Amino acid sequence: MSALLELKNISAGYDDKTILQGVNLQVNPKDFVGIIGPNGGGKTTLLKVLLELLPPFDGKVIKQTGLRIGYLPQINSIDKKFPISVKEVILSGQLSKSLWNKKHEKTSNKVDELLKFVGLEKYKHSAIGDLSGGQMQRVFLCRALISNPHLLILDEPNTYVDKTFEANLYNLLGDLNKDMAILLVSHDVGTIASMVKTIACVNGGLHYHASNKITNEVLKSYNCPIEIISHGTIPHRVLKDHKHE
Amino acid sequence: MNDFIELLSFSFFKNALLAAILTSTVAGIVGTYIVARRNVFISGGITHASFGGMGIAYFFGLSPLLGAALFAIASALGIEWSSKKAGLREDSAIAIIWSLGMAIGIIFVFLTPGYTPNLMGFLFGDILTVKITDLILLAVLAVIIVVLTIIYYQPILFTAFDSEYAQTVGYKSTLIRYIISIVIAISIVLSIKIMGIILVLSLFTIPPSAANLFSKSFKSIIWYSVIISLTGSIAGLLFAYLFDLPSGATIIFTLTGIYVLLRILKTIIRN
Repeated sequence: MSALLELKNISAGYDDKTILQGVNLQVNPKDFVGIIGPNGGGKTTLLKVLLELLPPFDGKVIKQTGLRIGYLPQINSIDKKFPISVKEVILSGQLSKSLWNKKHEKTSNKVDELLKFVGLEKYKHSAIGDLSGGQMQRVFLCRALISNPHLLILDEPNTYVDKTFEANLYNLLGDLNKDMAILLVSHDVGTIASMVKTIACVNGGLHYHASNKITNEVLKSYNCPIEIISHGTIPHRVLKDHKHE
Repeated sequence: MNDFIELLSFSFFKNALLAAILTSTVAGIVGTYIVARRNVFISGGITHASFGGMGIAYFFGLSPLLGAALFAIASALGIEWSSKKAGLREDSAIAIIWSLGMAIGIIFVFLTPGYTPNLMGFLFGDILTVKITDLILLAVLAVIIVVLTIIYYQPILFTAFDSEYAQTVGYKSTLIRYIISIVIAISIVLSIKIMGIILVLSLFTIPPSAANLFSKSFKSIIWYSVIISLTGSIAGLLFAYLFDLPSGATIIFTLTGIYVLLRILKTIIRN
């Protein structure tokens, strides 16, 4: 089974400031990778390199041909007063190539299907700004899914999701993981530990750990900050087997 | 009413009316984009910077419109480039280009010997002296903008809303933004004849803001903006003619009047 995506010896940053150095990462089909790390440790930079929004200073991004990536950004980067409907936001996730040669009805069905999947059927024609933060995030999840991605990237998905939907979201991700690889970035180790199959910590470099067990040793040896290590002492977050397997 | 029909028999008035219709179409579409993207300040910079090109063109006896267009495009691209690549803050870049363009314009107009015709017209607008060539240029621009908006509606909307995401699904976000910057620059310059450098921006911002009171859909805002802008321009044009005032100023008054009326209407409906 060949890797969906591979980062080889990546250095990246902005202007003359290097944030990531010597990062190697491999994402295989149906992986569920959790990425943790302190603020400013380079999580967002890593995502930008993965999405080819930021050319790295050094190193290589190798993608499987035809790889489709769906991405759920942090919604504070979105202009909430922009005049655009929920339906249009979801459609904007389609690959640009599909713009010219698709059957309109089919895509429209797909939008309905996705909205039902996240429980927002009623809001198809609402303006995005009329939704709550949690609802908005679910719409962006639909946008990430409409292209039937091989890899779904989520940036801090638990920041805005309303508590009632949170459990749903995790079940949903478990379902999605049967068909696609997921890469989830979070500063909340608790979230990550209960979901992922593998975990990596970004703090300047990327420390990749091919196991879902988070222990004090793991966190310490990967230079994660104190506040995250303290999370690791909570017993139920040290897992043996993965429940989504 | 009879007066109005009589007015229509004058070719200068017919031209003015045509100019108002064409400018409203351009401003309604382009303005919706400017307001939605929060690009109002950038557009102000571009408009004022174009005065530099106008001044140089006057000095060398060239077409002021051409000079203004070249300066507007250069400053639009300059702002986009300097904030992305040169690490300058965008608002600072805009302020520098805004005042530098005006300064260049003032110096060259000052150095131009003799009387500079139409200078007042360019500063404050004069829809009643619009020429056939202006109309042709406006018509070509309006057709290009309408066609591009219909064909590329989705890429324009998607990159305006979230250009990073659009890029991840394969849209050429940067290219699309540069092209739109050029279209905005040209639209502003061709509307200067009617509104004047100082006031033209309002024609691009008041109608979409008014439309936004009643709609949160990009497409409907375009339609409403064109209608509001058309109503305001024609009414303003009549006032300009009747009271012998600069058309740019009277159009701003009617547009602001429409905005206030709609705002009140919205409050009433809500209650």
